[in-house]
Amino acid sequence: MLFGYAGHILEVNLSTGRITKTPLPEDLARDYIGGRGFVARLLWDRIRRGTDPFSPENLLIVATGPMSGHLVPASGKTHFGTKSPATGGYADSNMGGHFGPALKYAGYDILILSGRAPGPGYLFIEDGTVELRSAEAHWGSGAITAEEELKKELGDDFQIITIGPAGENLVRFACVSHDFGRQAGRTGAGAVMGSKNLKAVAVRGTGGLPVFDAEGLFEKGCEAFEKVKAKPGFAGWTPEGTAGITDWVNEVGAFPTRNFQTSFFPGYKNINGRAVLEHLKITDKGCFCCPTPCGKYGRAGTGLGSVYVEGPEYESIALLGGACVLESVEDIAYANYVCDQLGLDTISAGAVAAWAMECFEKGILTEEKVGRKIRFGDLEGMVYLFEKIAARDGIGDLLAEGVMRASREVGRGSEDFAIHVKGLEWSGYESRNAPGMMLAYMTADVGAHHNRAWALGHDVAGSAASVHDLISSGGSRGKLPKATVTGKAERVIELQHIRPLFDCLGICRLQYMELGFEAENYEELFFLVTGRRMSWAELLQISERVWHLTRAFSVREIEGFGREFDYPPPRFFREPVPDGPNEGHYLTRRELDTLLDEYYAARGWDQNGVPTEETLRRAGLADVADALRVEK
Amino acid sequence: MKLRAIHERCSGCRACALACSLANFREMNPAKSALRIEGRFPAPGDYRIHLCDQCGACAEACPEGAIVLVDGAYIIDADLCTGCLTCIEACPHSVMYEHPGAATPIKCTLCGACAEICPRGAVVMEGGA
Amino acid sequence: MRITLHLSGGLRAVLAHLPEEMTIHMEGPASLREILVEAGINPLLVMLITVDGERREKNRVIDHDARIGLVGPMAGG
Repeated sequence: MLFGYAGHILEVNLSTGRITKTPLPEDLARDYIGGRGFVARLLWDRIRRGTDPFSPENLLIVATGPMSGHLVPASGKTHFGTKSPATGGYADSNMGGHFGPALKYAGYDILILSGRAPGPGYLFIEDGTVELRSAEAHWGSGAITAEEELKKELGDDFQIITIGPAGENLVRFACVSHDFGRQAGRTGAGAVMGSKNLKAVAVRGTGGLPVFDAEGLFEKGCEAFEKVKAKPGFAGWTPEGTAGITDWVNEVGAFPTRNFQTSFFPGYKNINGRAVLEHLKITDKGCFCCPTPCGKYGRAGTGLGSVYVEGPEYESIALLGGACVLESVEDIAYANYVCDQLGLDTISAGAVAAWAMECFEKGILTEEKVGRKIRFGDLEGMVYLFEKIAARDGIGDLLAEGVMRASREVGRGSEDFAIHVKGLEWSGYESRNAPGMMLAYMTADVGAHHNRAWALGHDVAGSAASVHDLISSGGSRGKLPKATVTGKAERVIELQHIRPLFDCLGICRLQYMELGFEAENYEELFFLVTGRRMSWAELLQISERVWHLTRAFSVREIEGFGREFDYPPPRFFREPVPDGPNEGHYLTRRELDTLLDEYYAARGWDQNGVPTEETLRRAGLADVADALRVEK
Repeated sequence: MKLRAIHERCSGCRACALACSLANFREMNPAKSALRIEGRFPAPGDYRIHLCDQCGACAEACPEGAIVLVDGAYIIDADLCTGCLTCIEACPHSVMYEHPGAATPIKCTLCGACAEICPRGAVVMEGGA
Repeated sequence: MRITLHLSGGLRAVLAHLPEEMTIHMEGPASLREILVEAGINPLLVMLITVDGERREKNRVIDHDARIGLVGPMAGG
């Protein structure tokens, strides 16, 4: 008996219409827990080597965790995984909201989508009823609009995921949208869904979940809510959400500005959490069973119109605001709304637009090629680009490929400032003076994303000690000293197991990482839900297993994958930061190599960054070791 | 004693529904709860809490006299209930629910579990006897 | 002034030598930044400060006994 889980995998072959329900294998639950663990294992097992991400053979996997849907803080998380249209390797993306719990109440832990529907369709799931219905009426609609229409049709109590025109047109950074403001944003899951002609999935479930100790969970779950509320950060953090870190990121000189040319945005106080609170916010909007609603839903008025939007949260402020130099929070919110309707990841969209703007400045992209003038600090130009991208029209067809492919095609030095790793655009932390964070971005399995290991705090702590001496001894020009490059690997590796563990459990990491809700609480709640006694360390070991597995997947799927794919763009190892707190700093190629050498050694990977056979076996991945050896 | 909704504080988390199903059915199943959170999106962009104010319309409508006032809450007597569902029709707030796993319609028992867990203070228990 | 400081888990992750709660005594009035320096905490590491439950900027001046919550560096997104 698997307590905590709904107990079934739902597979839908969209080509044939065949619907299969199978019991969730106990060993899969035991060895991979759920969520990201399920995604990693199933992608390895079920995707045939060399599969094209846009082909019917690619899978889109939607996986919940054992704690999803239970009375545990923030149990609304759902994990999406596929072979990445952006990188060609492992892809996953985590989404908040209410979709995962609904899937579990309907009776399913995992939804596996294969094939391609014959025409635009959406999947209808209501407990045991599973139907592929026509989405002709919705094809071409914005992602937000499509959800609105489906909720009117089916009922407000259906939980729905949709794609926008960007997903329909296979934009490599198209996202999956949900609940009027949440996304599985990164790595192009929306494009894979679009390649399957799937506009939406709508779920409603009326079943309960098996709990090992319902009485105990009721008591401890309520207690958990009390404990989270008692944390000092609770009352201060919640009103502004993640936007509230904008000030600090600028103070430490890590804010992406002007396509990552620099790392400090002078007007940051106009686009920070306080600005969101004062100019936009209507509602603190949260995910399922979350005591700290981080979503800020509001209304933004701009010269282009007035919109309702959830956001902008920090990443959107960084990439639509800083990287594209939008000076007002209303403008950023508007750009955010446009991305949400079109179904574009705001992070990649901002990075792509910023690259295009720099190309235009340098004469690498012309007005003729783009179709109009574009520049930094121009909302109208950004909206134009986003609409073109979503339609793959004109310049949009080039930009829809993402900065890696677009810059390779365009050439003329534009690859130097195409800010990505492995084909996934960089997210909100400029890291030329944050070696740990740089290493985290270099080695994140999905490409340049911060949510595997957020090491920036440790980098700042390292250099901050000497700043303290500077300040207290009376000297300082507000400049930070160079952070140490050695000794970063261990911390990054430790962090790379933690947040992804939450992605396996099916809950949000925020109460733990941001507010300090202790690990022992999760151990206890995990036991009450599942009946399994596992220490935090043991759970992290499973997360470590998944880390090696996702690396192995990319080794298998990407030709020549290895060390060369772990480097950041040339901007970061050739250009010193021109101004701000980190003026003059950057990391040399040699320093990057030091970071990688230390990292690979600590990981048990070879010099090329490939997991060794011994490491894979020790991680419980003997079959993966065998398969990789055979393929060599 | 009565439950009161402060809508503008609601974040849509639905922990109230989970607490309700656990308190009344010892089950992890928000479909078996006696209150409902409605999201109003894209506009006006907020939540409405639909809960029972113990108005008694259900008791009046019940042809079997199966719904009686007990300590300020209208409670359904399972022995008397015939499952006719007239009470669900009669409820002016649409907060009585049918569920195949429940012997009678689901109705708020004023247990207060929702108010206790709400992290936003959006559902509060008010008043004395 | 009697100032009680509560350090979040995230802050103690980067300042492991400090306790979860500490009390200092100092002459008022003083800015939150000065209070942090007095407590041996680099202001650069504190991302969010609450004073008696309300969020405050680091240049806020305090002239009374207070409970101060300190939250360390944390991610967005």
